Amino acid sequence: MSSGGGGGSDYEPETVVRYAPYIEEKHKSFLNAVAAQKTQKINDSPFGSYADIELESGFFGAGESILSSAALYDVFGKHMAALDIEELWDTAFNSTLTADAINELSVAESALLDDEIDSEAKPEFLIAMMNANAVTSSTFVIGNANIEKNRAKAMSAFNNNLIYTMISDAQARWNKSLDWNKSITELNARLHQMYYERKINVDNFNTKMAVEDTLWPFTVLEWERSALGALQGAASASSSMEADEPSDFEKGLSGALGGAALGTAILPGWGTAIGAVVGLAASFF
Amino acid sequence: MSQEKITRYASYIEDKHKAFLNDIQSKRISVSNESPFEDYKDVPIDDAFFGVGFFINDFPSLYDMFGKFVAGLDINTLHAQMVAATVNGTVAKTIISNANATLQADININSIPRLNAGNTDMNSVMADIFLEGEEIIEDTRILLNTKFEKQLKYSLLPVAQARWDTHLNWNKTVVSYYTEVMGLYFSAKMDVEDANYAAAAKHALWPFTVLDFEKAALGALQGATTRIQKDGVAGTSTFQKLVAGALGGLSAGAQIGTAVNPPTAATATKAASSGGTNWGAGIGAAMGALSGAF
Repeated sequence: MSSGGGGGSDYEPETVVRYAPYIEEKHKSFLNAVAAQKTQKINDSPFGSYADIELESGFFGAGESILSSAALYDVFGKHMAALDIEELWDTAFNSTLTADAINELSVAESALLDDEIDSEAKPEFLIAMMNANAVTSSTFVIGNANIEKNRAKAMSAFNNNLIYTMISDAQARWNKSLDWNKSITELNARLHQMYYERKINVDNFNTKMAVEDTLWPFTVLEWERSALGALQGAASASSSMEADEPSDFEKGLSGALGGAALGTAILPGWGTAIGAVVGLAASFF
Repeated sequence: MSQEKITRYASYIEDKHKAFLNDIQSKRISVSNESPFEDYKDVPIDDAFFGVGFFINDFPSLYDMFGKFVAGLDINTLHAQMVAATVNGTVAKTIISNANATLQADININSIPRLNAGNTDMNSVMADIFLEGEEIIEDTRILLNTKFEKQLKYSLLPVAQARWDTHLNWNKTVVSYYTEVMGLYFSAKMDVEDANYAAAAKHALWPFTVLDFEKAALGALQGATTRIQKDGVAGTSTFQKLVAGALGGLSAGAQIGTAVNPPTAATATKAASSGGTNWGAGIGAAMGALSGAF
């Protein structure tokens, strides 16, 4: 490196930064090569063909948005805050305990009892009465009535026990209805949560790709800038393509694969799938 | 007297640098007004949570909900209401009425005709004893109806208790969910506002983003680099995302209701299978009465 007066006046001294001739020759050749590559690449952005990720289509259908679905507070109001759970109880018990199926079971039981009476009880009774020569006595009438009395008891017991059994079912039905309404609210909230989480990331990603495309010429020129200052110890061009930080997708993929591996170790098959989902979710926190 | 100092470089470097600056300037001019954020559409938040045109102020406050469903709830009055509505309510009355009607219909359709047929065989249809036979069945029916009504009410007492318990759980869950949903709103609101404003800032600062490359180009021979490196855009948000951590309090899969077991043998009438009915009792009673007559 040499420096010295460049022949200027006392008021304008020049310092010319020079290097050994072989270095300057190589540098010149290098700059020409960089310039040639720049010319070739500067208008050829690889990001030009990127198509935005369509989050809304995936969540809500083509052409729809989150505003196309019910508002979260409306769902909460309909399925929780404004739900008349006592009316729901009445409905659950009425429809369970007065169902057609109960009546049909009762009729079937009645037919079975009639068949038993006609084919067994009555003939047995008549034979006994005839053997005792009592067919024309009042005892015969009472005996007949007692058979029907027992039949009525049996039918009542059957019908009533059917209802008793169904009480716990009706209660379970009510409980399940409440759980179902709660689940609707909960899932709707989780869908909103997932949407906003993904929406922000996807929008960021889409605009990041647009930025990469727009700034592509500068990405290329950064290399030339660096080449120009090579002899002053300039750092290499800083490019947005440098992957110091993994992207959300990479983090998600890494988490999912890690979780899948752990899940497989615990329970192959289901464990793999569950581990992947858990790993994927954990990677975003 | 001031003295100026001019730093020069080899002519080939200066030539290349000058051409380079022209390139940079040309590109800067072409893209400085082409912000990729110009088409960014703000993410909607209030409309999605509250409905189009509505805001959080249009809904009950969290403390109002807490007061209505929890703090201001008279749970003892509610218990009395639950017992009354369960044991003496319309549902219980309907069940009792239906059971009575079912038994009555069954007797009318099956038992009485069979009794009459049997009595016709012995020509006793017109006798007092015939009416006595019908009375036996009618007394039994009334007895069975009364028994069922009492047993049903007895069986519904634990249902009323479970209903009260479930009602309280439900109210607690409503407030809990309202809290979570509101928490989700505020988290999402902050994230969305951050994203929306960050995009607006990036759009507004876009010319500077581009100019920063030209600045670095001017200082290329002094080793200058761009200040904006990784994101490539001025105005990038570093806000910590909150929405991912919301809803942590929702208990996925937790059961709301209190289950009711079927009535035990102490409260329920034993079910009679078709083969287990004590027909012998009827026959035995008749035979006993007959033998007593002799």
